[in-house]
Amino acid sequence: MLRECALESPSFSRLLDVWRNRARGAEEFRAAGGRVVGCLGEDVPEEYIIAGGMLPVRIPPDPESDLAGADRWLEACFDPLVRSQFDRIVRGETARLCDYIAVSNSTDVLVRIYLYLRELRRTEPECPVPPTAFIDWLFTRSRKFQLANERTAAIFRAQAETWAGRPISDGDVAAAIGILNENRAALREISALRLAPEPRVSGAEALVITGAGFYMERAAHTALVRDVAREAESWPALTGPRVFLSGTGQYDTGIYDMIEDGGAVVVAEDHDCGMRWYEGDTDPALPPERAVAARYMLRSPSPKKATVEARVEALCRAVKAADARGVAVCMDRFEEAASWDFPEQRRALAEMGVTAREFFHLPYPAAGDPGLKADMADFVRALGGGQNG
Amino acid sequence: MADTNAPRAVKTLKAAEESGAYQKQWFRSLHGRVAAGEDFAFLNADVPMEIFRAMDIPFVVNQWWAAICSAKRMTPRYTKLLGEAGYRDDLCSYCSAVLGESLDPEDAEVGPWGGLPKPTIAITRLTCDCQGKIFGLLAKNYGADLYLMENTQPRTVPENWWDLAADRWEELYDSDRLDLAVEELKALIAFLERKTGRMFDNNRLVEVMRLVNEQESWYRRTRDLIAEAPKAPVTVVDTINATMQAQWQRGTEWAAGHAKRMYEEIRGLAEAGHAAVPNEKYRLMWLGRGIWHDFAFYQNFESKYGAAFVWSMYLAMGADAYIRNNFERDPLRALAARYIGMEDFLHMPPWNSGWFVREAKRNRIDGVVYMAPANCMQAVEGSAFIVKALEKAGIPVLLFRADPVDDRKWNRDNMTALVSGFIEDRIIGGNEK
Repeated sequence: MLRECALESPSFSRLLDVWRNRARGAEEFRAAGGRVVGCLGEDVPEEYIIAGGMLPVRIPPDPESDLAGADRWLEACFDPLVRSQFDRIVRGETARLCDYIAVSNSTDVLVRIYLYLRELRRTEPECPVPPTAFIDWLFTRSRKFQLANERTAAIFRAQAETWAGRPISDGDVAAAIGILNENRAALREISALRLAPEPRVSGAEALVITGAGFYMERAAHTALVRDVAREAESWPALTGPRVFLSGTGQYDTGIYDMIEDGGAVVVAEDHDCGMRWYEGDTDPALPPERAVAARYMLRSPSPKKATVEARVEALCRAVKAADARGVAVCMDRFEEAASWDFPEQRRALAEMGVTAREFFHLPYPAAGDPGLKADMADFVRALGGGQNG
Repeated sequence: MADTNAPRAVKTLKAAEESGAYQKQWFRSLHGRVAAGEDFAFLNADVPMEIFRAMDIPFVVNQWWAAICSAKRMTPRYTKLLGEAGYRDDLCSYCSAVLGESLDPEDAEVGPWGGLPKPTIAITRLTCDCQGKIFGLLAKNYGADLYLMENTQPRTVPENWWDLAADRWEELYDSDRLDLAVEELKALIAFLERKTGRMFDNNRLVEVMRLVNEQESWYRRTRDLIAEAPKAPVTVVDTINATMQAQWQRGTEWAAGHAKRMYEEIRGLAEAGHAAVPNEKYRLMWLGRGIWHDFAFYQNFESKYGAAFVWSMYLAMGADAYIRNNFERDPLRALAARYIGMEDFLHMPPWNSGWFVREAKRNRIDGVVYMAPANCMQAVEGSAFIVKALEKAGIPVLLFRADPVDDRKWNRDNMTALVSGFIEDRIIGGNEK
């Protein structure tokens, strides 16, 4: 739910414009002679991309596409969101905006996507796939994997140097770490306004604020986010049951609107476009590769990669911190992994007095599910919410 | 729909009969060892089981057991139990069957061969996002210790991996990837030594590696023999089970001996001019996992069309993917060079697509029937790239989606009609053009 108070804010309006026009930032950056790196996965170490003077942008899904390009190459069990992102690449739209692609090992699905892109570049020269790199993070927490991740960071740094066409100094990396840590701190200010007893920023507004950062220069994004954070302190407080959103990454406000129009407030989320994005800084006091590896390896456990036990603990902790009354787990069709977590999570949350409900098998965009709006309204009513809209 | 009256496959090979009998007897002895208090490990197929063999820790392989459960038509019961516990019943059927079984209070009475003994150790590699979650859940249900092994991706892709795998395996991988896998093996050994109180003996691993090489070398001879025989002396109905059952016993004297006996039996058939399908006209390749719940399906096309399924990955992987010579100096590194490659070889283009084309050509394949996974990301393997490579080589492909263990959506008549149409239109029709 985007409120008038937000829409009247020039800074929020600027972020909303970026969020709605996702190609423009990359187009302008390239027009000015810069190089753009399209990113897949929430664990691409942007530190090196920014240190190389390049612009990282997340490759967005395309709700309008008929997915014919993706259907030609992907098996049926790729989830619709990734399918849409892949479709954008093979249609050539990414090559129009991006010089390179970086894929992180954030989910097994993206491992496959990387392998397919690599194979397309090898066997289908007419298919416009930009040069693509893979960041093979290992998320199992042990010293040997931490050391392996430091090597992985160094490999990607060397790749970024090749793409940038110049060496990347430790000073360049330190400056990029500073830019990203500032950005994360600014987003945490917005998060604090949501987690407060009287939330001042809606979930949909927060999604726009956070998501705009995927498509613009980060320092400029930080400035706008800080402006909005200051203004939002005086925005009207939101009322209604507090909801935590988990599951598939959200690239439109559809699900947020269904929850918030029904009278609840989404106060936090742990999907790909949520709190894990700005959680934890890259430690500027450490050697660069150690710092970068630690930042991406040691965040709260990923819904896709972590064990059920770890995810139950992580979700319960986050829900408690958010003082949420309900948890909505929204999962796209064929997005399998996190659905194994749900029964245990529901039991653990119930012991905390929190109601959890699953919304599985969703299409992309979720608004295409004919029954979802009514189901979500029912969920919000069960939490004691009333109609807002 | 599941058909409990579906016809059973007709097997002719003594080696298939022997392996079937052996696994039952072995499973009984496993029950006895677990009942006597020994640790028992439940392993995913890509876990380096040679370590367990060397330490004499009894283990069962997830995919082997899922196949047994499916063949015994237990999968619907287990998916129902999963649904009742709140889990989705439409996911990961190959890997979640045991999770369903772990919820079965009557497993000892109704489970295959007395059900799965309670494992005390559960180990999988993180080769897909669901593996760690499913193994974590079943470990909890059984009260087992969970141990997870990482999975890394190759940065370089050597051409013709099958030419390098046996003798030049060091060249197959990025060195740091192999180094890390060796470190993982050392950590696994340390865990197992602590857990079981047994010492890992490097010399024992050398012997296990030798036996594995011996076994897989017989598979290589068998694969080559079938490829070169004028008419195939056996079909996949015999070779899949006989190979898969013994593959999970690899590193034992029995498995090496069984592979030799299977080769000698098939060589005898070939020398006697025996053809498994006497009217053999067309040689078919089966891509994908076996249809464990309907093995007779493979024989549906023999009498009418003279179409024989002569190739599956089970025998051919043994032939090309497992042998690691020059292992004596550093058996752990040789073992690492075996287990980390399995995902590459099977599930990554161009490793798999190039190998399938090579195998199709040398086996004189007329058509490929390719069962792609319906709901399993781990088995996603670039099917479009595989189909394109085979078709480009002039080999027609029928690609369809089905589940290897869950027969709820399997319609034998429809699938028979589908494959029949492919044979008539693409193979017979293609040859007439």
